[in-house]
Amino acid sequence: MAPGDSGVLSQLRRGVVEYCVLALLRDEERYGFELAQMLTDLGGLVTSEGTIYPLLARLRRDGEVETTWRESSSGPPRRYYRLTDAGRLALDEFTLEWKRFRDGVDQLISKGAAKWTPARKTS
Amino acid sequence: MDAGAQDKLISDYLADLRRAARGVPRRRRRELLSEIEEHIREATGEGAGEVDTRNALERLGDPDRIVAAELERQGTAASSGALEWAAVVLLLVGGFLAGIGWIVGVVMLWSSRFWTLRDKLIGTFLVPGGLFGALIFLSSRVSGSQICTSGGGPGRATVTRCTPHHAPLVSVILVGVAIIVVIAPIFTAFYLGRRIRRPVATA
Repeated sequence: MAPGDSGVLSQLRRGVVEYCVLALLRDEERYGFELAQMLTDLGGLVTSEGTIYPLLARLRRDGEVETTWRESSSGPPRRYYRLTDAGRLALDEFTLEWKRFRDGVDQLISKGAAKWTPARKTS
Repeated sequence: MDAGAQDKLISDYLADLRRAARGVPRRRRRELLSEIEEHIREATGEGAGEVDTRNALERLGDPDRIVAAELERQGTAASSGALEWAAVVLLLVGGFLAGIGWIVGVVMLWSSRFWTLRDKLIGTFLVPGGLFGALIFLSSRVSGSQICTSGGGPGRATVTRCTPHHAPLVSVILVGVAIIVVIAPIFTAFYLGRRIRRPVATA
């Protein structure tokens, strides 16, 4: 666990990172190293870049991404990851859920329950 | 920059990863290793110095952590190693259960992902049958070639003295072999026990 990394944050990160991978692949295919760098640099979603490979392997097994080898201009061929239809669906579902979740948490954090009125009265 | 030192850093890291990944199925383990190797190659391109290499490895993270992620993402919660310990015990003393226990132990040994091929060969052939095998071996060695004399009398326990019917040098060698044959399965059990690597379960 990275220094200053509370348990809650690392759990959140772990739950969310696979959808971030899917999101990074939404518009273009990318290779592993590229994905690892983006996840680390964009908001530190990954604290140990090597852990992205187990994740990618699982997404591949689950049929949410597929891979192709491509020649690279520098050095040996690279394995590129691309979103499948199933992956796109999973990403779309998560996107909706995430917005609700984020708005809910944001509201609670900023205003508490001040604006809350019970949907139905007891007694 | 000293290219040798960088290569050493990288090969040490990969060796650590290979060791940590012992519990990962072989095919996926090879793939993971080549993915990480490729990652390192990408991160330390032409003209990368030792500092770049160290940074790249640091960003990759602790091999144990990568393997923990692998086992977690596989959905196969890391096996506790309990079956492996059972295999070690069966290999050592399972032979006394009509010989079958040892065979079961061998099957468990070979079907476990925790041990390397070398471990499995040692476990199987040092000594076949475990302590039971050692005993059989010893009795077949000794019984045919010794003279036993029994002594004792009223009020005294019967004492049986056996003298190997051999030249002194041969006797010394036989005793040596006997000790080795008994110690070897015990050594093997310790060895296999030490090589059971419980995959780390951390985030």
